[in-house]
Amino acid sequence: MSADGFIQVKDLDLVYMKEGKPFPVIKGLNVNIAKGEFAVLVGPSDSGKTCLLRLIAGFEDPTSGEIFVDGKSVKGPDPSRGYVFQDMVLFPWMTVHQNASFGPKSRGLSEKEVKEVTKKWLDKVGLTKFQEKYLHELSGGMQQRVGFARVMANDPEVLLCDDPLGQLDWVSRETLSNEVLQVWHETGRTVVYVTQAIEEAVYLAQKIYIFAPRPGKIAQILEVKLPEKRWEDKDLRFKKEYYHYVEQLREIITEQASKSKEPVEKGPCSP
Amino acid sequence: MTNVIEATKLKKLFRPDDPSRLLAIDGFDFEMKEGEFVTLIGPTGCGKTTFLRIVAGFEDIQGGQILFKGKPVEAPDAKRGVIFQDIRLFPWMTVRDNILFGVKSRGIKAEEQKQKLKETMELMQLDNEALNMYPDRLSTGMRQRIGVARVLANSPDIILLDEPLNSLDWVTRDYIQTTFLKLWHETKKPILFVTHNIPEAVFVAQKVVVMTARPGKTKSVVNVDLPERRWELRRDNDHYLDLVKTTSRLVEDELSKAREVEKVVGY
Amino acid sequence: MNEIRNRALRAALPHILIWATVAIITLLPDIQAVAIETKVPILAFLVGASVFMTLLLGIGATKIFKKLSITRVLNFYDICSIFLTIVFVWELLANKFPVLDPMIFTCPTRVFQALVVKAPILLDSAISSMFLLVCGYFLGIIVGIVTGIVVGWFKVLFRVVYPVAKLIAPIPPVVYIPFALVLLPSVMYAAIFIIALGAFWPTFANVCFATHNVDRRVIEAAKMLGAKTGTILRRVILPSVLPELFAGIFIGLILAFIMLEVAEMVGASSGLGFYILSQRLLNHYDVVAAIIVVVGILVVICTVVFDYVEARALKWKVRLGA
Repeated sequence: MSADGFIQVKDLDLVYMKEGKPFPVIKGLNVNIAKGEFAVLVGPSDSGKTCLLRLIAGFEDPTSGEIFVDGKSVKGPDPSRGYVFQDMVLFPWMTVHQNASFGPKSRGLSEKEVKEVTKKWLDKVGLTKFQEKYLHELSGGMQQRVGFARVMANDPEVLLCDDPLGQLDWVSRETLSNEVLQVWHETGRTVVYVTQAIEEAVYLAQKIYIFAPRPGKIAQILEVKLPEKRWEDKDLRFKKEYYHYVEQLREIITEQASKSKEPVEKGPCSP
Repeated sequence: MTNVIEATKLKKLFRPDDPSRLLAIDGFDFEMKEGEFVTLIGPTGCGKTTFLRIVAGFEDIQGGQILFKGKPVEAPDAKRGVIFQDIRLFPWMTVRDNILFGVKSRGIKAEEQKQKLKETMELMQLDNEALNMYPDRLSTGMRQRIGVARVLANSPDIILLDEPLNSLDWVTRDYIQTTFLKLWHETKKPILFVTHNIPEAVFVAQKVVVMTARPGKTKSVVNVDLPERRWELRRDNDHYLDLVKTTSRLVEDELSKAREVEKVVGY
Repeated sequence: MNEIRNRALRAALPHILIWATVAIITLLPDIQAVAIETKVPILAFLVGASVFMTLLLGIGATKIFKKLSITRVLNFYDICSIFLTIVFVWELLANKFPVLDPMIFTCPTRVFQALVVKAPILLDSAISSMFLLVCGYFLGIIVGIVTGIVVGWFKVLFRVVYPVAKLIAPIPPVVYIPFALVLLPSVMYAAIFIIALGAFWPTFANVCFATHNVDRRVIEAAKMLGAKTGTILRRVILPSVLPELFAGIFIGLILAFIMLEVAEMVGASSGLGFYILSQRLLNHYDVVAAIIVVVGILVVICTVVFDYVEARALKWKVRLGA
């Protein structure tokens, strides 16, 4: 395969046991993601993209194969691989501030450091005024900002995002997509992002990795050659060059999906 | 042509027993003719889902009038089929029973039931394997197809869609959009589609109604003069992108008027 | 307009009942002659209640305290109406018409009299009982919470312990009383033990089960953010099972009260349970009724305190319809 990446996945297999029968989810997956890349994973439903993300995060162990991040093998969850969940999975008994500072605190940083880094990230996501509020008092978009802030407060090397904007309304999605891009651009971290919305995939990605139907592997890689600072062009979303990629992606996914029957049962990594 | 839905000066409170509380909808007028495919969009909390629920008969109103085919809406009915965002299949019933639930409840004969099942299965591309399964085991995309199937099996007079494609994968979303476009093209059944996805709203409809921020009123109507065989249209079409832009600007403009609203207890 | 008529009715009802009760007590002849002085406590109570409730209504109407709205006052009124109806009917049937045996179903007048006369002993017994309750209850729930979290967390423990616990839990702690009395140094310790056991099981079961079922993704999120097991148990698992925990310790509270009364009736020489027993043997049913009222009041107080603590602990939870 191609040159060594920052994130390397080698011959990955994931087989679940469901009611005594083996249920293969991922088979022979190989992928290399470069340092600082914004990689987006798309594909038919339950084709293993969320599973792959969870494997990179270390929440699950593969049946066979290996995953390396920055040369080190993945052996369990770690603050260096931050994960943003699809339905946020925040701690509702804590205030916004407590949620955001949980990571730094747990890692044993000094009180001063905890305060500083929490303030920095809450400011960046625009939640300073809402620090003492409880989560149920915030809108979905604001809650997900907390989701990002708490992960970024740990200064991760890799940011893993499982369709984080999927529950939000369209305009919030557009706003937050821009914010995600800006944070990525500023920090230069590697991002692996799963989404169902092809418009969003094209808008965010440098490279789109398209999955084949379950059991999954990467079927195709689509490079998106749009300007780097995409948030600066307010009309980019309505431009033909952007939608040209959207149409291309649409065709690829539809073609991939038609290769096998749509899986009827839901996959094991669905929430 | 008569109006299939007519709403005049609709008013609805979030908490009817406490008049000092928030208005969900205030003075909302809406007209929809037979055979139209209309999408309803607007900023979060503008009342679009509330309005759909009023048309469906799930909510009562505190002012104004809501007519369906000339008669006031009193309660939910098989004639106004609803497809929900959270799907809401009956988990204790198999797929077959879910699809036939409405039909059975209305006492349709067994022969006809079988026919309906066959038709809807073909339409939603379900095969026999799924029929005896229980909803919990199925993927979200599959579940929503069944959600659509059970409504279509009931032959409704109007189909009301409440953000049905939100959490679906692209392939299922595309498929259901195409199914409704083709269905509408053949039968010209009126369809009211509530969504917050602006490109989608423009892609499926003939008319896009944009609502103001809460309490919602009609802000403006965008006529979508794209070909009728919409499912054949490529999305990098200039006119389509132009319409998406216009509609987006309208919604964004409305959002800038409403401050960043904290989550409202309600819907 | 219907709404206003409804509210007026609800507001008037308790007062109507109060004064109707006053009327029948003072005007109707008694079946078993009751001295005037005996009637004083209940009359004083009823009149006082009427004044107090009118005051509440006034506060509610003028909106002096935000938390005390008319709606809340009327809800309180509804509860009072139920009790007052019971008192009214009871008085009628026990002392004014020969329906209920006046010996056993002592009329409210006598019960109130007993409450006043026996007040010192009642207070003493109440304190004795509450002491046992508090010791036993907190012992039971603390052990229940800690063991619940530990067994729920460690999969091996859960697999082994939980099925066994499910089998043993339904055994009523009362059957252990003979052993408790023999093995523990005194009756007091035995009573505390039985009460603790009553509070322990529902707490343990709820906390254990809830811990076992915590959304795995919440734990994943905590691990991903860098938390170690200790932090996870304290700052993530425990808060996250609080709703089920409170459900469990509430049942534990009810059981603790039951165990308390049983324990006192079986072995103690003080406390409300013991007092009920002794008075019953003397056929003083009016005092028995008075003791029941006292127990009822204690339970209500405990429940109100419990609800308050629960509401504060769970203030982060969205309540539908709140």
